Amino acid sequence: MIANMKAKWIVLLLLAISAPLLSLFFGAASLSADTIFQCVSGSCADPIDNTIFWDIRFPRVMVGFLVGAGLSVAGATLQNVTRNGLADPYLFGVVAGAGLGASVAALLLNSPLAAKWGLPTAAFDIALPVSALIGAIFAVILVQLLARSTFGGRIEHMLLAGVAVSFMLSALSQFLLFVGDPFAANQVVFWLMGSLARVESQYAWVLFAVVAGCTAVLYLFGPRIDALLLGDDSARTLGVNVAHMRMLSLLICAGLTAAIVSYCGGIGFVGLMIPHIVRRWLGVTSRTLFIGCALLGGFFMVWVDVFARTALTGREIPVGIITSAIGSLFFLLVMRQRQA
Amino acid sequence: MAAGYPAKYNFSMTGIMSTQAALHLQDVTYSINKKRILTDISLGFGAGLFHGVLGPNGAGKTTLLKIITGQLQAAGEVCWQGRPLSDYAPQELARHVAVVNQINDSVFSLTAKQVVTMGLLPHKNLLSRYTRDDRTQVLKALDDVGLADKAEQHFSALSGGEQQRCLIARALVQGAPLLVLDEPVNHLDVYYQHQILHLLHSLCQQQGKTVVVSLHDLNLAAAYCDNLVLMKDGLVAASGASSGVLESTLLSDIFRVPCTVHHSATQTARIEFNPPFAEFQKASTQVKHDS
Repeated sequence: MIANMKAKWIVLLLLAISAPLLSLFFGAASLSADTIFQCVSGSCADPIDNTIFWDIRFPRVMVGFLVGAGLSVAGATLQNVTRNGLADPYLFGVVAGAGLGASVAALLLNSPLAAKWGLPTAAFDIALPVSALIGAIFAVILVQLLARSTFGGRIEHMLLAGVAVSFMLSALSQFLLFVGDPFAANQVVFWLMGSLARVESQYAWVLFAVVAGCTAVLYLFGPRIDALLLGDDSARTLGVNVAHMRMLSLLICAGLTAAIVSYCGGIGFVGLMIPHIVRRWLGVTSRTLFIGCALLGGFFMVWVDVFARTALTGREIPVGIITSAIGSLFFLLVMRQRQA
Repeated sequence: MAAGYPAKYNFSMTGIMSTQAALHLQDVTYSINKKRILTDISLGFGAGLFHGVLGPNGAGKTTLLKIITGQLQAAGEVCWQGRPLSDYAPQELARHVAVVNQINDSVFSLTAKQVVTMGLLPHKNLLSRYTRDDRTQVLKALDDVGLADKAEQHFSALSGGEQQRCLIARALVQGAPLLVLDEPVNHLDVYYQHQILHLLHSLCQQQGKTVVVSLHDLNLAAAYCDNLVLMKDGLVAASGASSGVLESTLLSDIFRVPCTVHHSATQTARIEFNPPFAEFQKASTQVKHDS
């Protein structure tokens, strides 16, 4: 049993380490193994290769891993904290809020007003993620306030409030895009499909800090989150401040998801699917689950991104489309298995 | 009824007990939306004894247990080892009082060992590690309740009695001197009922735990409990040594079923019920007529 567990961890670790390394070899520009080794060791012969490697390919692989890891850890946390296997970072209105923020930014920047002010196009690159982040935080606060004031803070009600707020905010942003400029609508629609194409190395390091920091804190919370699995009353008798623990975990997950979504757009189903697999494979307790999710989620997203970059020549498929397609098929399979 | 029970029922020994009581309630009153659930309860629970809380449905047993474990705040004073419960920080309280509520299954399949490990939580801060000693302690507790071979099985796959014992093991790991269990033998067959109560009784005797359980079966209470608290309508009708509390007139009145108590010098008291069938018959004929 214990030897078996050890073997599973080793396999997972190998998968997680090999994925980013191997994926460095895939991309629009072909870099040979020699060139890559040279670049890594800091003695790249061709400065163009060096730039391609360090400014484009490396940050992209790193962001891919972090996005997969972050969304999976957030999903796992939300599921354990709400005792609901279907909870997902997206259920709490984060994506809809980010979408609204992005829509507002896109419309303002494409309006005649922006042209009159002479805003540079680069403003768009910063304004869109920033306003998406603000929108995501707004949505989370709204869900929390609704769930607490009107529904007495019960978990199921928090999920329902999240779904309601999601629809409300999507309706709002769709209406804005409907009445607004078609070019802006186009930008937002592509943003919602999710992509890692925009990443830059500064963002990669910021995201690294956010994902590592949040995962570390959640890891420390692990045993307390486990105590919630047998019910709030049970956790309280073990000395856990249930309301605090749940609120803090939700906020951390919201921040984590917002940091990812605001930059990379809508990448669905990862936070739902990966924790399911890890739970079956390694167990349900939070610490095991979080580390397992970080590794497997990273592995999964790196390969999805490789597929997105290479499946069609000359253009990229938005990653959100791929994750949603895989995720929905996966769910149907799980349901079939359960019935059998 | 609110005025309390006539004096003849009140042969409680609270006066004597409360001086040595480890757990002590003074004038505890609890209401929800102006509805009284408990009224002026004053009780003492002696250290190292097995206490049973008895009473018909809705008497306030569960509420009383929630108040003595700090899960509900009530008016009046509840003291554990001379200190009001409200003075204890949540984690500190969890090191003094272990609670086994009615079983709540988890949607995610925790193993028995993982459930028992939760009991270590009151002794851990955020940065604490789980050591080899911790693991040994968890396995020992599982062994103490006879579940050593089921450590890796899923909690939800255990039988009702095994789940109950698993939660008792968790309470043991918690290391609390006071153990409070709400209807620990509900839904269990006769074998497990005795097994659980026997286990709790031996914890009192061997480890000096103070145990408080709520029960429905009066014969089980007579067989295992040192002291009993008899409740009805949020009041304490009687409390004290089991042999004193188990008295025919009192029990017949409180449970609305005539009964006889057979006391014997060598064996535990046995309670025999004579249900009022004529009354039930009348009620069921009425149902027929109504429909």
